[in-house]
Amino acid sequence: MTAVRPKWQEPPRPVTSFAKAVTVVVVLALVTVPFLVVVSTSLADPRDVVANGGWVIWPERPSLAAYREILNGGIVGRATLVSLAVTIVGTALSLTCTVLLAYALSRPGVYGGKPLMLLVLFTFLFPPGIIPAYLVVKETGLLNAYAALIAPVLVNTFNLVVMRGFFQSLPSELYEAARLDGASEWKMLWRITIPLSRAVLAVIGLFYAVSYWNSWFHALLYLDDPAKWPLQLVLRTYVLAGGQLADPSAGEAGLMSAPQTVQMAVVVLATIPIVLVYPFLQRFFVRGVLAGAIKT
Amino acid sequence: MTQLSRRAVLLGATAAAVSSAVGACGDGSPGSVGNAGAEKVPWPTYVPFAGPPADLPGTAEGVQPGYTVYPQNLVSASKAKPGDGSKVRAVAVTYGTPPTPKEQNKLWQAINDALGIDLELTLIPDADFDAKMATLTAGDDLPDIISIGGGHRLPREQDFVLAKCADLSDFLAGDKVKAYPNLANLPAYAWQGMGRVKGRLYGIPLERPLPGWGMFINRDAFTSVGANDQSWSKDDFATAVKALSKNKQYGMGANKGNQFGIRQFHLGAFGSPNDWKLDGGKFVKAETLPEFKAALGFARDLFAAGAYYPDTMSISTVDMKTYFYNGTLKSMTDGLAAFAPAVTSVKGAYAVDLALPFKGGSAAPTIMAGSGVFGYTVLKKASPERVQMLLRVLDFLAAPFGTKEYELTHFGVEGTHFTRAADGTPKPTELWKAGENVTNFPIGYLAEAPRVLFFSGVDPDSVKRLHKWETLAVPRAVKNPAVGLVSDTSNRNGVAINKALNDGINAIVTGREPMDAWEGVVKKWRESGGDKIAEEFAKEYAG
Repeated sequence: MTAVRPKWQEPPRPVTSFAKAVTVVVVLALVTVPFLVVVSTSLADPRDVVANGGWVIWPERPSLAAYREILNGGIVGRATLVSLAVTIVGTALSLTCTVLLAYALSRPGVYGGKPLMLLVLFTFLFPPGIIPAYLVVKETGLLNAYAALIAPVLVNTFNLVVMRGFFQSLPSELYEAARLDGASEWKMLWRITIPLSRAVLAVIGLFYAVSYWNSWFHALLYLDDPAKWPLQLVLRTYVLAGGQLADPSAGEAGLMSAPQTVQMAVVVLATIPIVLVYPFLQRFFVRGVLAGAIKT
Repeated sequence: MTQLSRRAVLLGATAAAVSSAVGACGDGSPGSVGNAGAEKVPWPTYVPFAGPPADLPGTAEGVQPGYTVYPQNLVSASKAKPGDGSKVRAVAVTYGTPPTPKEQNKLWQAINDALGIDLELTLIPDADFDAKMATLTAGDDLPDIISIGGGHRLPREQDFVLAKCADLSDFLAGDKVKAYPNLANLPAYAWQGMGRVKGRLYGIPLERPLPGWGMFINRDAFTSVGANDQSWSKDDFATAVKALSKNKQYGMGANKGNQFGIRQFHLGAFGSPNDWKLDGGKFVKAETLPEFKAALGFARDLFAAGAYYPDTMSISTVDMKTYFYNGTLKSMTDGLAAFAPAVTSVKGAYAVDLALPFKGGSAAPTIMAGSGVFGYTVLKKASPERVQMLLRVLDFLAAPFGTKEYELTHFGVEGTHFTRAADGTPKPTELWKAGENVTNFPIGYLAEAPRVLFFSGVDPDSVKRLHKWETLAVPRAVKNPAVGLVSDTSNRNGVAINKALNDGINAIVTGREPMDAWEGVVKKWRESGGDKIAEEFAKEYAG
């Protein structure tokens, strides 16, 4: 492909072209080489990895042993199902609740709208600490239940504010016209707001999905039974196994640590779903994120 | 209206913050849980277990008995099933990956069956122990058995133990421990390393060998440059590690967590006390003494000469081990338990050994003793009958090497988790290797026998080398006089206060600060609470 250059523009000097090419190669390498190293190391022979100081660029003797080690025993398989279920159910519930609340708070003249908004913002400025949150989960009987992974984080205030901003940017004339035609609030939400907000819904849906998929800390605090743990918490134990200890003098420093091949295989496994989903939602991204930024 | 409500919100938040801050300092007054002035119950009587004789005998000082072959005739260490069939909830730290669920886990089932209880074990990954325990102890729904260890401290740990846990003195103090013969087999240094709370016994110690750390060396490499650790001076040592530092290989290995191995190896070489020195009833921190400064200066010179791995400040323990195994590092400072995995991992490429300390100053070189414990286990308050039942369970788990109980809790079930080699050594099966093992189901963190030198499937010669090192090093071990003593300031802020020292060491060794800066570092440590810690230890020791 030849670039079209206006007649008045001088052709670039070879030095400039060369510098541009070098820059592009360097930037590309910065992105691709670490990724390549991760994938290659996960497929390499552990002996080669140790001999090379912890990583390889290209697996000389490729093997799937690291993946087999992780996927054997059924723990990771089960955890994947848990993670998928929590992500799907959680995202659906979160998106529903966020849309409903954002819609209510975006409409002018809602009774108690402003105090409610301040209450929501208060949780944004002063999030609960670990222990108060734990006590609430415990008192509501959610300990050791999957619901504990969803209920405490059902509505994210940041997402709510972005979505409310987007809803407020929709022209009020549309709602007036709908009102004149006799539409109820439900109908206006369903027929006007949602169809016009697909970009922001996609982005916030992705935000929720990613945060549910990546979440491990709530599971650690609220689920005692490792059989219920989601994927990220289980994978985390593979990365940490035998690793940095709080106090090596305690005498456990000699535990065999997971080889780097296993750790890298964990990274690959944890990234796959997001890598699969992201390209399809990427086009909404900039539009959706900017949506709530400026009030019109 | 809006303004008023905002102000009210701010006022409310401030009031809440102030009240919680005040509450936080309220009941932490010095000595509130200490042993000073309290009547102390005697330590449990030590009754050693008469098991299979070791071919490399241990000593009362702390040299571990060594076994080059597995005992042929195992004995039983408990008469009846200790449990009463009830459900027992326990919590412990883990360094492994999650175990398979109880319904599918034959190891878990076999141990439950042998113990006669339905054990529900909650395992907390090491990295998340503090956060999870903070929530667990905040709720009032405590498990029956709580294992605290691995260098972790709970927030105001002694207060928690005193308020929520069962006082075990009436079952374990003095000769009473004889009702639990395997607990009576735990050495005195382990009980003392755990310590008492308000003069009473609240836990069962998890014993670890007395030498806490060592410098692991690539024996072949050190021999190749003519170094002999049986009689080396600091100049011999420096010459050797400098000679080994060439072609991107380094004589000295350490990691970001252990400050160039100064406290673990160099200090002993220069004859420094172990963390604290007891000087006529007063406690003096090792860092404030000239021996420490000499060791610091020595490490600084080695770093300047390029003998340390250049990224020592940023590499993890795992990376350090990897570089040691592949020959990049010719030595590393690490916990003693790193020995067997190191021997296995280098696969005979060179002999892994522990180095004796060099003679750094006028004093005789020493090694630093560890606390002798990994941590300890406490029990939730319960009826005396239930506490006794739980103690019987822990007694079973503490059955020593050479018993059938030990074999079950360390190697699993014969035929399922291990098969026997011709000499009787348990050899792990595929199921064990695939994850159904005691790394992932670490039952030993509830109670465990004193450790011995026996490495299944590791070259017996390495056991002899380690035993020889212990025989030479343990008599030189210096204990930390503060182990087992309580300082409220240290419990609350010790990590933050000591950070000044660690940052100072890093800056001086790497040459970012001049050697003279050390006095300022020590002064800062004293003023930020160091002196207070020393006073509290002294008070506790005197009482």
